[in-house]
Amino acid sequence: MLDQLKRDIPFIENKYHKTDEPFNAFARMSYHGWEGDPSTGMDDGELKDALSAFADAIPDTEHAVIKAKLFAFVLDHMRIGIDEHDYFPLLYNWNRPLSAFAAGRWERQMKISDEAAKFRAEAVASAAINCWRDYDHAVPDWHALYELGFPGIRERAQKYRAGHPSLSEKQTAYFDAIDIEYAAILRLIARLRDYAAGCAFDKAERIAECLDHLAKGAPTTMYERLMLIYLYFMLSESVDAYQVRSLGHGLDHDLTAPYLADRAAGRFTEEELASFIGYFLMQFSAIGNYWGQPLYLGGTNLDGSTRVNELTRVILDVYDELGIYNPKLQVKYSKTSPSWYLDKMLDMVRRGHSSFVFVCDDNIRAMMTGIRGIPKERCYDFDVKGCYEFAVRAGEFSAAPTYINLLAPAVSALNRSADGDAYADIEARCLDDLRALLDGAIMMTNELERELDEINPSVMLSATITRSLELARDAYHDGAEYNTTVFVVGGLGSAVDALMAVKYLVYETGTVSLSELKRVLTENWSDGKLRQMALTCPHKYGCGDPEADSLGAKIADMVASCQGRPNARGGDYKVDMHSARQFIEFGRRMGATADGRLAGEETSKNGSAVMGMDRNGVTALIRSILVTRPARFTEGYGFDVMLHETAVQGDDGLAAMRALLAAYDAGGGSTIQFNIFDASTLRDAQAHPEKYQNLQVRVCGWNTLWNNMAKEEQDKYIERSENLQ
Amino acid sequence: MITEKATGIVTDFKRFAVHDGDGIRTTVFLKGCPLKCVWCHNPESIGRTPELAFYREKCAHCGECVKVCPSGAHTIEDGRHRFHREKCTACGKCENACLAGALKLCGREMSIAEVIKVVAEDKMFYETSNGGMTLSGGEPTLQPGFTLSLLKAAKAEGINTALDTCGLTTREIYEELLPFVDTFLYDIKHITDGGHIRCTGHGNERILENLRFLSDAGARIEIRTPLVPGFNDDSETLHGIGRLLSGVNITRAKLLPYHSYASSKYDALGMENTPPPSSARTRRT
Repeated sequence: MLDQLKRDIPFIENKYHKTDEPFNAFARMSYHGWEGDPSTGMDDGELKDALSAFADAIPDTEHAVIKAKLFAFVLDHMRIGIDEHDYFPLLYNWNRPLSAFAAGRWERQMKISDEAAKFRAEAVASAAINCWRDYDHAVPDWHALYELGFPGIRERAQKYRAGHPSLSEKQTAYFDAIDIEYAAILRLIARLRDYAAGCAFDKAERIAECLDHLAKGAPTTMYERLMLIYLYFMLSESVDAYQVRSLGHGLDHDLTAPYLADRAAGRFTEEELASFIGYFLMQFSAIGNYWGQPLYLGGTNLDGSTRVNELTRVILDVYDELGIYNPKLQVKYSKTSPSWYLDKMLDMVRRGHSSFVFVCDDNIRAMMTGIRGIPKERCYDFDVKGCYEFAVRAGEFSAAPTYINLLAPAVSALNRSADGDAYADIEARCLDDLRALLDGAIMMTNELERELDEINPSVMLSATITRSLELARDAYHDGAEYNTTVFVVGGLGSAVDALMAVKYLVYETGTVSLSELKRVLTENWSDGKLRQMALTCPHKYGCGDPEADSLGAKIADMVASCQGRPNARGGDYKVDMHSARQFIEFGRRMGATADGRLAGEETSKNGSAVMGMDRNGVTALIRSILVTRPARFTEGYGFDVMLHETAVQGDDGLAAMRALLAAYDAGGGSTIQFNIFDASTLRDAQAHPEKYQNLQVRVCGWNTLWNNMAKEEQDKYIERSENLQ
Repeated sequence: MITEKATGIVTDFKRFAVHDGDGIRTTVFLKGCPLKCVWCHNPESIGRTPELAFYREKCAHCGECVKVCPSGAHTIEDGRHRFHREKCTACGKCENACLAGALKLCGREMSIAEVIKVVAEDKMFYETSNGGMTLSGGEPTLQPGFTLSLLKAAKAEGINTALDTCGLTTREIYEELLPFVDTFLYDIKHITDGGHIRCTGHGNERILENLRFLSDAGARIEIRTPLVPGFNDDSETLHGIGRLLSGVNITRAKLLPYHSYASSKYDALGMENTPPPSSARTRRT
């Protein structure tokens, strides 16, 4: 089916990264594998110098306009290319070139109060929080883009502008910036079209025709929709400096109408249509960002019927055949999902495709209507974005500036306690410290977010959002229906295990005094026997232990209570039980903790158990997780399950995986992802990395290649998989 | 007539058992088995009474077990731990003291309520998978009173039941258990009496009679045949088993691959291991 694409893959794989340099998954948008055509524009150095001179010449005015002019300059001078091995063009530029002259500069000029600055400094120093202004969780209104195309988006903004009876200086700049950026996008598309029209190879004519349509209006075919998504993604991520955290509002749903129309009209064969999808997916596989590029599939219509259709199967088949792990697929499932849909994906998972996040569709819709009070007409087709976050489609921008480490209050509570205190006192102090941490984090975050739109105006994005145009306000800052702020929270398992270990070692067994335990911890577990006791403590989170689970629920309750508190942007707070990479960062900066963790070791991830401590198997783990009520976490709840490969073999194994999903869903689950491992395979992969170039593991909201992980991290996976035997 | 028993000897539990009957199950291993299968991968379930397994490779020689042992079964000599099995009363105190996990008590007395509490914890998974509780062993019918009580208690909780049995018990016991067993996981290890004796130390006449009885009584039966190199993986034996099964009512028959994962358990229990030779024929079969 994908024969031509498979021949072209080596070119695409080398398109975005220099082939003579080691692959760097953190080198955001540094596309230099293929140099493009030098006659079409500037290289890095030339563009940087020219942009600097251009920036100096821009008069001081509203930031949105300055940014838009810089954006237009980059697009007008960007080197481009079209190649016979690819249906998607090259846009050559360095890593977010505007930053030095716009967001980066304006960020440094922003000040927060002394109180907020003091809280931030202390909380960061104690590894209790990490924070930065976040512009990485946006999804445009793809449907508006499909319907109007780039020209229509520009014209619509002009109409809205004309409809406003009076505009402030800032609102005028808002519309000016949109017009400048979209005019530049149209010039770039026309330039790409003309370049393609001058190429002689087979694909060039089709590419030129596609770009011609996009230069003049809305996309008319499936390939044109894919091209539109690709161009928007590239320009937003790398020039406008807003991550695009979902490709489409359900790629299968968004492509179905043009797919069927293309087929019915005989414009393309089924094989050609599948091939376009393959070329599209391969772009993101080749970009290979560490955090992964998400798209989602499935879902439920307003009338309750499933959105899974034949194109869902085509996309999954293409993805399966390509054997890639990026884009990562977030898949909505519910009782109405067809059985083939889950079986197909679960079978892929057990064959090593760990890039699936299964989303409990019914529970998330119920949470959005029940907890958040959003009308069901506005949330039945919610977006799944980023790692596993939920948002109202085309109506919500949830910035995630603040990461919270739940292990920190457990540590501070122990440090504030002394011999003679009861265990209940320590637990109460932990919850008090957590409450104070969350309150302080809200105070500090509100200041941090007060002027998001002054630092990085969301120009491309705002133009797609109807509410933003109505208000003439920046969509990402305060111009959407729901302008939300997210606390990204991790370390639940570590926090529970640390407190439970104190209780076990000091109060239940009387093995050690509190002061002695604190001394041993400051010496990074100088008493190995005591540490072994901590590690084998019978009360571990993730084992179905009622005591540990009860504490987990208390901490989760406290975290969830932040939901709905007002933020600085006219919206409210949401909570995400998700630690992203911070479980590594927080752990690196923390000393030894009572759960048996050594100084510098990672904390637990998301809402999951400490790696290797879920000793009673997957059913006990799921029961523990469900005690914390994952679906009430309004932004998301990451949860990883590791299974031994023998447990999922054959029809019985597939049925068991299906039953786990169903039980998690029925119990109030949110998202779940699987890692299928055999300890001996991982040990062999560590010893012989050259034999396992494609072995991928689910890390925390994204996948990574086994060979890209540090040995210590690999050791943790091996240790955990050994417990599955 | 089986006399119901409120307690029994349980070797272990296995949650998320997906190959011991329908759906996701919790398998309860009961202690004691009448057979001596040469390949047995649950040797800790053969004896009828609790016993201590000592995994010497895990031992840290810390001496914590010596401190708590009331019978002097553990000593430290020249800095190294020695286990005197003949003195061990299987009280289990050393298991809790051993931080390295080198000591494991195989078998402990548990009440019906204690077992059902563990089993019922995963009820939500049984409901989404048509799973339930599987009694295995050893051979559960060696503890007939406890087995009957457990099956009744599970049914009272609405939990599906399966009985993993080697077939070597009395017809009367099966008659009494039958109303409380949803599925029999019935082992057919060999087709001839001589072959069965060679494999298990016991003939198969009564096993085959019991199979016919259960089949005639309308029991739901799944046949399980461990495929063991050099013992039952020849064509004649397998065809013989096939002919036997064509005459009884079964839902499905499964061939279970032999594996040698249990070898460390034999060492830990101080038992002699007699693993079958590897066989290319088995792989082909």
